[in-house]
Amino acid sequence: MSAGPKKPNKTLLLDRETCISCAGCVGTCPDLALDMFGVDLQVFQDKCTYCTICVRFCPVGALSIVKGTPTSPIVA
Amino acid sequence: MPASRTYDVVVIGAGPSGSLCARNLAARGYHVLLAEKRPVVGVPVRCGEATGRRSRLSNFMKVNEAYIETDLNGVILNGPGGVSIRYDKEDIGLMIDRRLFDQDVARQAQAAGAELCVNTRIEGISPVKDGVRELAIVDEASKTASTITARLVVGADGVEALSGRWVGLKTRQLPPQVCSAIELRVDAMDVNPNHLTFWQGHDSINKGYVWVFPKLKSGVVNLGSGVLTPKLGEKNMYDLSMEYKNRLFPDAKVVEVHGGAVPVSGNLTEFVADRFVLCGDAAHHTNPLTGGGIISGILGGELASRWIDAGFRNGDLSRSFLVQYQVDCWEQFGKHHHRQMSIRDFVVELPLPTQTAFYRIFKDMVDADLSLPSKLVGYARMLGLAAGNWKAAKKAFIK
Ligand SMILES: Cc1cc2nc3c(=O)[nH]c(=O)nc-3n(C[C@H](O)[C@H](O)[C@H](O)COP(=O)(O)OP(=O)(O)OC[C@H]3O[C@@H](n4cnc5c(N)ncnc54)[C@H](O)[C@@H]3O)c2cc1C
Ligand code: SF4
Ligand code: SF4
Repeated sequence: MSAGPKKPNKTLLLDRETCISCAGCVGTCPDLALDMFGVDLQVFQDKCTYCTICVRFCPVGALSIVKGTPTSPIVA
Repeated sequence: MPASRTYDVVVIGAGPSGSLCARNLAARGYHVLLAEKRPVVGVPVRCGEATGRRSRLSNFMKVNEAYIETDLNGVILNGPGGVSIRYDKEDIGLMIDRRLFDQDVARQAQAAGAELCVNTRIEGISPVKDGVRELAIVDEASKTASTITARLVVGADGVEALSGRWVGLKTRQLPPQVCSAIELRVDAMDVNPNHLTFWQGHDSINKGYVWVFPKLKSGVVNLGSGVLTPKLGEKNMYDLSMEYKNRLFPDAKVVEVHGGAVPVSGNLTEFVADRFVLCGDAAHHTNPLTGGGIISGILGGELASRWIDAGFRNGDLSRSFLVQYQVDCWEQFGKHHHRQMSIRDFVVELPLPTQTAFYRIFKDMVDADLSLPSKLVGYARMLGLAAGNWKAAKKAFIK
């Protein structure tokens, strides 16, 4: 990761109960911040720029962007 | 784990496109690895499972009755303003079981001599060095990492399409030209069990469609919907599909829910690099009007295998040689897809009354069995309609 601009105070939230592991969002992300491991979607918060594309894409509405930095335990 | 460290060709992804490409190359004597990250080929099925007719499929392989679900005899298209178009014609296509189908094609690749490794995820591809590319692989079962080399890499990794991005190609699914789709497998049978039924237009969903595809042998229907990437806060496809399910099959059980992305941008402009080619969904070979990608993915895999073979025989696997594969794809289906995309864009741009008029014209043509006079009259009326909606026509057809 290059030393980019300071991260905004946001988190991409994945609702694992709702996610159906379709992997569709992976190919839409401009920053390679999503990847599918088996049925587990991984969100790499450090790469995410909160562009909302995956949020728009998700066919079940499992993704959202909320205020606040990812806390531990990591939100997604 | 792959048995060797070096291969002539490594194909990433055992979907129909990758398996077919691997099969052809192995049959020509190349040392081929077919790497699939899933534990079982073809599972889960993220597909409506409708495809072209038997004769089309048999251009590429011996059709196996085991995966045939339904012989399709027609299409019902429900447009806006209550215009319903019914087209009856024997043998217009097939419903297949994608799990069995994908496994059948992967087995063909194995039978031809390709090494199929499941649970094998490719994680990265190096630039070309000393005539090979190095691939980082992870065994998903044991989580062990290793590297292998290939003289050429085929990215057939579907919509996720990360392999192209690793080598610097612009394969990202760019909104809005990617469909957000949901599919429900419903334990019910449709009243028209040999027809594909669609809903499209301002009254149902404008920038996409809802479908009901019956799988006769299994006694279920695939009910789904897909739309060009919606805006924030617009209705999602799961909710829309459930509305249709509750209306059409109120008492039936939903046995499976799947979703996914469908690339509907038309062929990418660049899908080859030095010692690297993409085929299938990864190259956006999917039909941008229908979202169908099984046959075009297979055709992409077939053409890729021919040009890769030609490249090996010519001792030239550079980008400048492999570009011929891109041109071939454009000639064989890309051009056609581009035209279909224009028609799609025109129809969705029309306001409700004009869109209804468009469907009426189409219905008149179909009701006259698409006879030559009905087509001539129909096209003339459509031209008139396009002239009256010059802005939409210009946007769709003059790009
Ligand atoms: C909801 C929905 C409905 C559809 N309905 C239809 C339809 O009715 N008719 C039709 O013709 N088409 C339909 N399509 C499109 C069709 O499913 C695809 O076009 C088709 O599957 C493309 O085949 P492919 O071989 O290119 O890719 P895929 O079938 O997606 O195969 C890609 C494979 O690559 C593997 N892979 C990915 N990354 C890696 C990696 N890093 N390492 C190893 N393996 C990897 C994946 O696990 C996968 O098995 C639909 C799509 C969706 C989402
Ligand atoms: S919000 Fe944008 S950058 Fe972040 S994961 Fe989604 S698509 Fe990627
Ligand atoms: S698009 Fe939505 S349902 Fe599909 S994998 Fe991503 S978060 Fe899960």
